[in-house]
Amino acid sequence: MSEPILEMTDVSKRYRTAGGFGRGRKGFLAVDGVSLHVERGEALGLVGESGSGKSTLARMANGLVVPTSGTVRTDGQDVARLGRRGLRRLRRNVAMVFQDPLASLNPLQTVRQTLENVFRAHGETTSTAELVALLESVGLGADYLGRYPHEASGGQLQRVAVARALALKPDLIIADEPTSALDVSVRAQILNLLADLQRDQGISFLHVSHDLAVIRLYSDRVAVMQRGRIVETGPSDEIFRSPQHPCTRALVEATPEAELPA
Amino acid sequence: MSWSSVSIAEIQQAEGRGTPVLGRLLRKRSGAVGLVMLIVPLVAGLCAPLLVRIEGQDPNTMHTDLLDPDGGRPLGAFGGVSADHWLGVVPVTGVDLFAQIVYGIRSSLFIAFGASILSIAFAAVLGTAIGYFGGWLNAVAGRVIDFMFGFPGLMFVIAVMAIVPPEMPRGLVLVLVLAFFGWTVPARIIGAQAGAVNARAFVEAARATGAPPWQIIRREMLPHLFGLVVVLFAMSLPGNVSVVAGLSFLGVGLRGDVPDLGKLLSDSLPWIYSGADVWYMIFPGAVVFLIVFGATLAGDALRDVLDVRTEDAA
Ligand SMILES: Nc1ncnc2c1ncn2[C@@H]1O[C@H](COP(=O)(O)OP(=O)(O)OP(=O)(O)O)[C@@H](O)[C@H]1O
Ligand SMILES: [Mg+2]
Repeated sequence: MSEPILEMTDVSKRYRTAGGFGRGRKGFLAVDGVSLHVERGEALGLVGESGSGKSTLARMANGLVVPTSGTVRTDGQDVARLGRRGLRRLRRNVAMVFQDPLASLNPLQTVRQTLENVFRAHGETTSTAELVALLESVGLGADYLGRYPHEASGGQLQRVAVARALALKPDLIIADEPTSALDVSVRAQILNLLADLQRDQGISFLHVSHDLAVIRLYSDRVAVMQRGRIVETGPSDEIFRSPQHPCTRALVEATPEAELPA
Repeated sequence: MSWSSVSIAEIQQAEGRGTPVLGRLLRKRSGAVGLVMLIVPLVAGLCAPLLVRIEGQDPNTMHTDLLDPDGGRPLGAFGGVSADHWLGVVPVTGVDLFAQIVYGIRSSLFIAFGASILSIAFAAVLGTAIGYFGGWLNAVAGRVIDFMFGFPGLMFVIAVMAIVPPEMPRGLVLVLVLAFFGWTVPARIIGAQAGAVNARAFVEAARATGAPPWQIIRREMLPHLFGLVVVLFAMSLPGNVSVVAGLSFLGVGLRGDVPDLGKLLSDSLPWIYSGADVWYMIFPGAVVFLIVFGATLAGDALRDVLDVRTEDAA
């Protein structure tokens, strides 16, 4: 079996908190000795209550957050040993989709400028035809190229954000609650889009969510986080059918069958 | 879907290429009035040689025939206003006051603009760096700015200008000294704003695509700081105009033979005390007032139109 696309070993993150004495001076341990891996082509769901350290953990995969200890190997490379350039090259292969599409797109840039900047970041240029094809792959028409973020809906913007993530043909996409800022009606569309990408293009996913129902349908495996630690991992169906940890049970109970996306 | 992460001003700015800022500025009464008050003297200063030629005068000829031989007071009403001398003549020397004033605007504004451009350009570069890199740069720059605050700047400027060796160009020294004290508050404001922009999600998103620092600064941050920089520039102008005038008033401004608004005001003092020629002060005083008040009005209106906040956030 080939090397996992992402492998974290015993990683911790301690945030320094401003101007504290005593307890505060030690900082806040957001991630506490976590190990996890994502196989190539796999979608791993990361669930947990708010503040459990999911976003922090996810951002360590592409170096946006630097771990206090432990090792992160992404795409076969030790992230801590990559220099500035190495990290930028890594980010070609590891793209990210954020929670709030409106906030994660520059309000002063058209969709075209946003997409062009991704190529520019790596010294590449692109053609309008390529950009149109990119938009079509996320289900948007060519007319979106000239639009500003405030001229599109949340669901359309999240498609633009997915297009931005796909621009450089990544091997891994980190999706940090990609649907929780969206209307319930468009959530399933975005999730189906991501699932198609995994199936058709073989892209691996680290999918963060606090909604176990979403994770169950769209991830192969689940890792459950609580207060900075992973308390349970396993195949999605299994976790959902027979949750072992009290935290997982609470999450399962909080997702009534009726609210499952179709 | 929450729209709170984007301000109305940013939407306007995005569409802004359609509604130019100047148009919106002129639609605001204070903006239009301020701009006119600023631009009329500005154009007069820029076209000084032309205007003076049209008037048929020059800034140096002494028209002693227009003065009262007893005391040197200009003859005639309003300090000797006539078709030949639009604002009368200067007491004792008899040189044309209009010529003195338009040439004076020229040197005063030249220095004020120079100082504002230099200090705001430096503040913009430093502030952007503070916002992007944060950390120790923010700490060091913050301490330096605190130190400069505790420093009696105006006193220092006066002292420096008083000891400038005669062979050095006083105008250039004045620009440098004013700029030296002018960058601190703007740098802190721009730094705080740049830090806020740097923390926004779209900057993190750009970073996640592997964009290099310069691209993030140039394409993601600077467009969000441009309005603030323009407003800070407009707001720093009137202060520099009055300080230049004040320094010349105190006799430590430009060289004695260079026409200058502050110097005219200072020279007019004895004539106003004695009441012999109040117009000698009123004309240049009105021009200084127009420039300072106009620039302040225009700067405030511009701030409102661009919706930038200029409170010192640190
Ligand atoms: N830059 C930071 N500095 C200090 N503390 C931070 C920072 N970022 C996150 N934290 C803290 O670390 C903890 C974990 O945050 P994180 O964002 O990773 O949680 P999360 O599981 O993604 O939560 P949510 O579901 O609300 O997004 C939180 O208590 C948070 O307050
Ligand atoms: Mg989060």
